[in-house]
Amino acid sequence: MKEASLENITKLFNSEIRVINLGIPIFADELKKQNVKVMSVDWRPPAGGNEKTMNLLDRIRAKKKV
Amino acid sequence: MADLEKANKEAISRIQSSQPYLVGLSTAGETVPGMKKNMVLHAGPPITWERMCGPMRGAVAGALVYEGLAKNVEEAEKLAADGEIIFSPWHEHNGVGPMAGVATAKMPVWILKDKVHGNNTYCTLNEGLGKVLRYGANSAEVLDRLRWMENELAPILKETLLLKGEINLKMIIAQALQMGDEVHNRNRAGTSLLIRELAPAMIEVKADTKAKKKVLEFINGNDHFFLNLSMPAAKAITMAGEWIEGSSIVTTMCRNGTDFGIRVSGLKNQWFTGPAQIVKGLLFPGFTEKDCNPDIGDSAITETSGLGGFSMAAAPAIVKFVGGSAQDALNFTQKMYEITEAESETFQIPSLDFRGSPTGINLLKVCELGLLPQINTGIAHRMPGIGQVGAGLVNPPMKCFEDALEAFAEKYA
Repeated sequence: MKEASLENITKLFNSEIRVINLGIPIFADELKKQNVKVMSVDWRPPAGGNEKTMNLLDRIRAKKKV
Repeated sequence: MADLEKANKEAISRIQSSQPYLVGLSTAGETVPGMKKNMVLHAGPPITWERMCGPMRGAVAGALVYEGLAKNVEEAEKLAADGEIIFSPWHEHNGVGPMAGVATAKMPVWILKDKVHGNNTYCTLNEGLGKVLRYGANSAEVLDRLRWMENELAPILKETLLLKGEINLKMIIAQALQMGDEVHNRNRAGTSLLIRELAPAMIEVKADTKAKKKVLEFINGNDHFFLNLSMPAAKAITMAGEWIEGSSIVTTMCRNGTDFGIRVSGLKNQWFTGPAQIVKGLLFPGFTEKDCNPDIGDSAITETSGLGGFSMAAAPAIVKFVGGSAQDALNFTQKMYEITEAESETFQIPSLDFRGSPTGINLLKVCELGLLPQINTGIAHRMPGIGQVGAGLVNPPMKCFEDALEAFAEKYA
């Protein structure tokens, strides 16, 4: 790894970190306990990760006229 | 060829413009389409006697004795098992029934009419709390009450409505929502507003004063009396959006205590079912989860129309009944905006700055987000006749929506 990148990483972890948490709230909760600024986004994988459902939805959405 | 977006817009427009009015009262045999003498209407999707849960079987047996088709419960059960009785879902007869939702020809039913779209909807009158037919009770006391409802309560109410004229239920529901009801598990305001509408006309009904007093006391003693009007009103509202080619709006959600069933506007008359779930919530003292029957009743029609669990933000006091905090009630409603297409133009929620309730569940959004409709509901004991054991929160099984999605893709893609 280049020295410049290492320097940036060091700078990052020595400065105030602001976090966006996608998905499971418990990660955000733990950060909050440590006074880290965090914003939680209620994100879930599309169709719960179910490939069959995703394919069906893609088929339906592809047809503007059904 | 239908346009998906246009079809949903049309369904929503029809749902928004629905105007359910209470227009009369009759018996199921005289007024419900397709009703027969040997037919038992029930809540939820189609089901056979063999698969019925305890409360449903208890209600069926009691109703057959009440109807005069059997001399006693044992004879009724044999009649039901022998195939002599036709079982049919209320939803296939333009009606709804709470909990077991069992109805036979002699039972009085409210008659509603959607003044814009012309549909009639129906529901029995609420029996009250405790040991009642809808929880599977079928003792002599239960049947005596049903007979009083048929012979005294219903005639007085029928005459009252003739004198009073039609009652705009949509307006009562809208007011009730702003008074802390969500018209599924909180109906205190709705019941109070109903009495205000009925009482002046009831004074003029030609009947014994004591009999009229008993009617008013009966209504006043049951905070859920209005449920049997909010449900068919919600039925009228969702019916307006039914059977529109290409629409993915969910127009029915219901349970029979064994199965949960949904129907989708663009998939006419097709049921998509999955196992009814166990309700999680607050149980009355002395009861545990092993006493609980799975989710039962047509009252999920309130959620289907954007009321009930979808409007919990309007009724924070409900958390004392179903569990959780007032913030949870707000959160549940706000979540439901993610799976619906519109906000009600009539049902406004004060705590959300009068935002309209989440309206028009979109099958595609439910599947895309993996976010299920939120229902709050009473919990029945799994044995017939014991009654309500608590209340709580429940979701439909995802299977219903996955199967419906497959059928929708099969038909339209």
